[in-house]
Amino acid sequence: MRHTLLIHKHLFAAMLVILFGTGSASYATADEEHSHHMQDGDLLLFPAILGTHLSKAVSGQAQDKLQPELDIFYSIDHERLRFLAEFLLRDDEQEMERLQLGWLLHPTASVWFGRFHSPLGFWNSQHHHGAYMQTTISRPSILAFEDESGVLPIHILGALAEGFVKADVGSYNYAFGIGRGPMLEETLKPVNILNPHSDGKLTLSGRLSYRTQDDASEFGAYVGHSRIPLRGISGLDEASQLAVGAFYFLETERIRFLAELFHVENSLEGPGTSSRTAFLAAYLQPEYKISEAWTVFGRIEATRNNRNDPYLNLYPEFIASRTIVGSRFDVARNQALKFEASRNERQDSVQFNQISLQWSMVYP
Amino acid sequence: MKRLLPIVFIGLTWAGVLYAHAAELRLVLVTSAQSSIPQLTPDQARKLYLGMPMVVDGKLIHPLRNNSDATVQEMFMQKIMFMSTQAYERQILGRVFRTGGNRPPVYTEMPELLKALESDRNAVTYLPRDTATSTVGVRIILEP
Repeated sequence: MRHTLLIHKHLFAAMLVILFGTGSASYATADEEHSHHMQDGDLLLFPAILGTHLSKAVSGQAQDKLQPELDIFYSIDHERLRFLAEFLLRDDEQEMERLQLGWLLHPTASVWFGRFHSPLGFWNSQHHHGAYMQTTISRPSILAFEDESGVLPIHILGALAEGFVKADVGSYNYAFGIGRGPMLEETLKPVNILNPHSDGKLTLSGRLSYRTQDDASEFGAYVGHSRIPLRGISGLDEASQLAVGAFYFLETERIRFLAELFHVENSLEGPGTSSRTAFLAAYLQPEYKISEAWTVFGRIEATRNNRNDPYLNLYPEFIASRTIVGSRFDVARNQALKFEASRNERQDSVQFNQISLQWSMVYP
Repeated sequence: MKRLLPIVFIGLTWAGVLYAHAAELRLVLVTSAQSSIPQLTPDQARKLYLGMPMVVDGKLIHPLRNNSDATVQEMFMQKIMFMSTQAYERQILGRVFRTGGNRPPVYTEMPELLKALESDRNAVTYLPRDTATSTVGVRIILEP
């Protein structure tokens, strides 16, 4: 295993050399040669096995499912040059989730190019695909991944600027992304970095927030605009989407709390037709750490004005409301066992209960 | 029972020695004597080891972890980071996973750590105070 990891590290390192050569040499000065600081980077493996059971058979979802996955993550900074890659491997999906090449403009500001998570929403910037890293098993449905009944652009292929500005008692954080987004063909199809000529169109989003000096709380707002091509839908060509929202996050020694609110306006356009509607989506997620290894959590998700929304009606499997209770046990070193029980109602009014059990870990 | 008594006595004595060692041990943050890194505050040191970028004279400071001794590791978590090792590992892992970059490199051998400190004027690490004052070429920048 150790040899395999070393081989992977060297492969990534070789990729870097081939791709970027001595791109960072111009930054290093003679004076800095003595203080040269180079690391091998971080190669992380996130294996997980998820088992789910639905209380009844519903269209588009397996009633019982066992899904193993492996998320492979690599990150390295060399002087000002930055590189980050995340690849997800499942039986039904093999996808380069993030592939970013960046430049450190300033120690607190970076610009990235490639495929990245949209700054739309707090959760989407905090959590990615490594199951071990988030307390819960599931993501809030309003921020579900595009190909998992998501309704917002989660991935962008383009440019991202992010950083923070220190203030007296905290910091102002910002992130702005612009590039190509998803398209809708039965479900949202995320932009594919290996096929940049896919049909996704312009999407842009930004987030501004304030984080207190002790990192105990953060609040902020975000906005995003996307043009989403619609394929195979009679009489419609494109959805023009404007999403605005706000979040609040609190973390103490034992308590974590996260709340997000989204207002989403969609204009569906086709030859000689145009309609404009809007819906609201929100969730609250409290967590309580009973001990170092045991956390209990809950989440309430709700959507308003969704029943007659023509855009949401294109996603019958979208979870419009959900109540979750669950628990996470950190077992052994870097391993977690999570349990979730939920009551769900989809956009097509189908209701069902769900039980999920997940084992996840990070290596090394 | 009589056979157990000496074992219990030795065990308690050893625990007492370890406790006394931990109680006497004082950690300090150090850098190379050639470095221009100024004195840091405990809050700056904590943020540095949590992965927050810190700049001196336009250069990023590189924190190095000293895992050469279990007591030093424990003291570092208690006195500087104010969290458990597990919580710390998860925090720095989360930061790298979210925003990229590297976790602070870990050194398990003191000679390697001192060599890394000497070769990088922008590096800092933590040592027992006695070790820091008796080692040539290092400068104390924080005594928590």
